[in-house]
Amino acid sequence: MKLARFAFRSINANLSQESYRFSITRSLSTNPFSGNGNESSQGNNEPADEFERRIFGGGYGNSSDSGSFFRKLDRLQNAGNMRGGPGGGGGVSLDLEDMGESVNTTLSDGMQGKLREAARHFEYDSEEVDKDDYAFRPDVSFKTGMTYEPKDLDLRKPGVRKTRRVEFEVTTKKVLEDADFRNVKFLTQFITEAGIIIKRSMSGISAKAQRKVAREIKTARAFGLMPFTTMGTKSFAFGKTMENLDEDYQYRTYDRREPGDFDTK
Amino acid sequence: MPLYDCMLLLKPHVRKESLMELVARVGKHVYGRNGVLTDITSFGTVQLGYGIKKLDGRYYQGQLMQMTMMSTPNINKELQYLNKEDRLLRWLLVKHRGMKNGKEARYAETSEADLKKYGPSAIYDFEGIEEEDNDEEEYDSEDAERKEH
Repeated sequence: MKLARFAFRSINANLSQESYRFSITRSLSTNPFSGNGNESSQGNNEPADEFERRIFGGGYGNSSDSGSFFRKLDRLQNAGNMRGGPGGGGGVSLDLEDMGESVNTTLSDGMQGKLREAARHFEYDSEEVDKDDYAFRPDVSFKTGMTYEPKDLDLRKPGVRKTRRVEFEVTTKKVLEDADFRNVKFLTQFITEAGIIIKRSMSGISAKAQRKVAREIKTARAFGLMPFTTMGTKSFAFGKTMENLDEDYQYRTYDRREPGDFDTK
Repeated sequence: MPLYDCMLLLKPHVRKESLMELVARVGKHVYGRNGVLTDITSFGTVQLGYGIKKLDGRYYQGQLMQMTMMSTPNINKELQYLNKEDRLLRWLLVKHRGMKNGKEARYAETSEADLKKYGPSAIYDFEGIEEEDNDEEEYDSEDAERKEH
């Protein structure tokens, strides 16, 4: 079956090449790089198959670079054919495949077919859509009334996009003005929960301002106003003690005050 | 003579007289070297970023003082004796930065909203910044309500 397909393909390729042989020989005669091919093709009337094998790098005889040159020529010709109309379409695509095969001659025949089969085979259930639990995007839960954009349906992208959590907005000007080791309230915005200075890609300020912030945070650390690290302890907050209090280890309770509390005062 | 800021971080239990005595000593020292004290600011008790360990235990709070002075550059060497001072947790001499109308003094101010922001509700809020903003507004309105009554 496979052999038959290949045979058919090569026949077809021959037919399609037959049609533009003349244009190739014309270009050969004007080309300075291929002297020997030129002479032989003009000198004797060899059969079409032999000529083709020699020109298109059939596997022996030709040097590799001249072979690739003809392949290039062939490709150009194919592009012309495609523009030409639907009639040459089938011949063109087959021809391209044929060339791919002549390039990959390293694998044994059986392996080549298996690999091709594996690359093209994709198992899928054609009635998948009718199933009850079918979801076009299983990773996103679309709710009723929700709007989505075309890019939300792009299955190549993850459905739930990672949003950069913007902690705070700060401008370079404000940083240069306010960054001071005494201004702990301001500098606390620039450290993470663990007490690490956030990087510039997160803060989005100029390099100069970032240097200043880092310098001031380090000064504040040395002076005792800010933590070096709060890993394993509670995170630092301005105006709160870092001492281990009993209440830090208690269960949290819902501490919202009743509105009635204020009325009684 | 350049302007310097001398930051003094004292232990929290140090009494006012003792603190004044220390500040006066530094001031006298500056005057003795033909310097001038231009400003003294107290930041009050501040919470520290970590427990500072001294011979008599860990300190999680400190009293912060700032003395602005004009003196010769070798004042830093002359103040080294402060290292032996056992009322101090830390001290630091920095060049004065031309702050507009005593901005440093306002750094230590803690508003109630700031503290609320770090409350348990903020910790368990994973919704993002929008939600947090709403919280703050709520607190603000609550504060206003209380003032009215």
